[in-house]
Amino acid sequence: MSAAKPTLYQQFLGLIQTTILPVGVESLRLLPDSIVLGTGILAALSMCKSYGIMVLAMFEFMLIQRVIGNIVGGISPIGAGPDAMHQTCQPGFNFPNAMRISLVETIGVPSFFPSPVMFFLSATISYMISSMKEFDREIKALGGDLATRTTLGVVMGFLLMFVMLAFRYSYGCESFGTLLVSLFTGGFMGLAVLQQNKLLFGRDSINILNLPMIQTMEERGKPMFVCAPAN
Amino acid sequence: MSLVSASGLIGGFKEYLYRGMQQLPLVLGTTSLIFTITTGSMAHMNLTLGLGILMPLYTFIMQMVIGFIMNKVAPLNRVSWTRSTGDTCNLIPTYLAKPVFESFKVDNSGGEPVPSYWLMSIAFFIGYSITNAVDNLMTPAQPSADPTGVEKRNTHSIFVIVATCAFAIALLGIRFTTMRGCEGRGILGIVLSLLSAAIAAVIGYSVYALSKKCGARSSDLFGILSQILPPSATTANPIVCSSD
Repeated sequence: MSAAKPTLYQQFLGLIQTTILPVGVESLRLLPDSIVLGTGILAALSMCKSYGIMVLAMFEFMLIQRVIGNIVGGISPIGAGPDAMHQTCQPGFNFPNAMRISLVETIGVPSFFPSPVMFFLSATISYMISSMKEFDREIKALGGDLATRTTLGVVMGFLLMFVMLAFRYSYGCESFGTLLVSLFTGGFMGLAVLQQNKLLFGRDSINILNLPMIQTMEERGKPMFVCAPAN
Repeated sequence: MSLVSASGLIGGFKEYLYRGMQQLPLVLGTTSLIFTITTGSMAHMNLTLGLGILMPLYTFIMQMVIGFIMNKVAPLNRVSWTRSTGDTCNLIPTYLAKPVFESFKVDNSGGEPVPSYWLMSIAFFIGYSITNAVDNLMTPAQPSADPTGVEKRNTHSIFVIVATCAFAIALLGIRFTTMRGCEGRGILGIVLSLLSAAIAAVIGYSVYALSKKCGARSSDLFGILSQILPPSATTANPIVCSSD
């Protein structure tokens, strides 16, 4: 007797569980390392200053995470999730021989607090959104489709961080408190590094949207004078 | 804990690049997704949609079509038109992969029809990038544009074209030599893969062309065209004089 034919709903569920879910899980697991490599490739191909500076900022985030992780770990090792050693919780590229390589845990440090993945992603997304906010004047001047970008970016960025938090928490990688505090710490560091880059390399170094920059005459060193009629 | 040694970093970096290259479609797809989410960039959205939806569907269709035809034409010569699907070629690690789509399928039973999702997505990315770079170079400058700025833009565009071509050649060279068999175990498989890749590159070109209709400024991945001020911003503003 032949087995009952699966319904359309069962087939759809099967497709999600067997195809979309593994790809989604692997993409989220790879995320911190893949964004470093991906941005690096874009920076190399385009020779775009803002992308290059952003890659450097990512390395800085890893070093900051290392410093904080070492300080906190030295005082009190806290924040491990119930399934911290699960394969899905381990970031980086896996090899068939079970070897794993991750920049986030090589330049950074594997620690329970701050969570390397959450801290890094939060810092990167905060950096990107804030860099866009820095160009509000240009975005408003160019108008049209660009005007909605900032709001959309902030909302979607928060949603992405929520998805990442839910993903790490549901797999038991870290405890909820660790994830939440890592998120805020990373977000703050993203803002701080953006301001640092702006001061060190200039405003064009954080122009990741590559917008034409509007500079006032005063910023260009050519102040305007209003001449009154001579009486 | 001390910082890792420089030699360890270099060795690790090499391994990192190798595995990163094996999973490059996921790397490019997720990077574009993050840029799309945080900046609303049209160029990155095109890449995300292309790599996340268009290319898996296109690969699936091509595998079905090639598999169907070749099973009729050369059923006894499977080795010539199939590709290896071992650990080196897999995009998703074995512990996660139980997919339905051929594009992501892990199979150890003796190969699957060409082409692979890896090649199709990379061809799409290269097609999009080169079209973008050529468009940057070919877009005429405004008559009132600063000649130094135009020259700078052209030089930058030429560099991007050369860099993209070099990247494409290096990537495909490494794929076809160190990951032998992933794109076809026989000459027929490799030829069919390359033909499918050419179509994927044309899809990349078409996506850029379509996107350009919505405004080249938004679809520019390299930030060259997008840095040009719109004509309305460069025209002289009217001057109003008042008595006081």
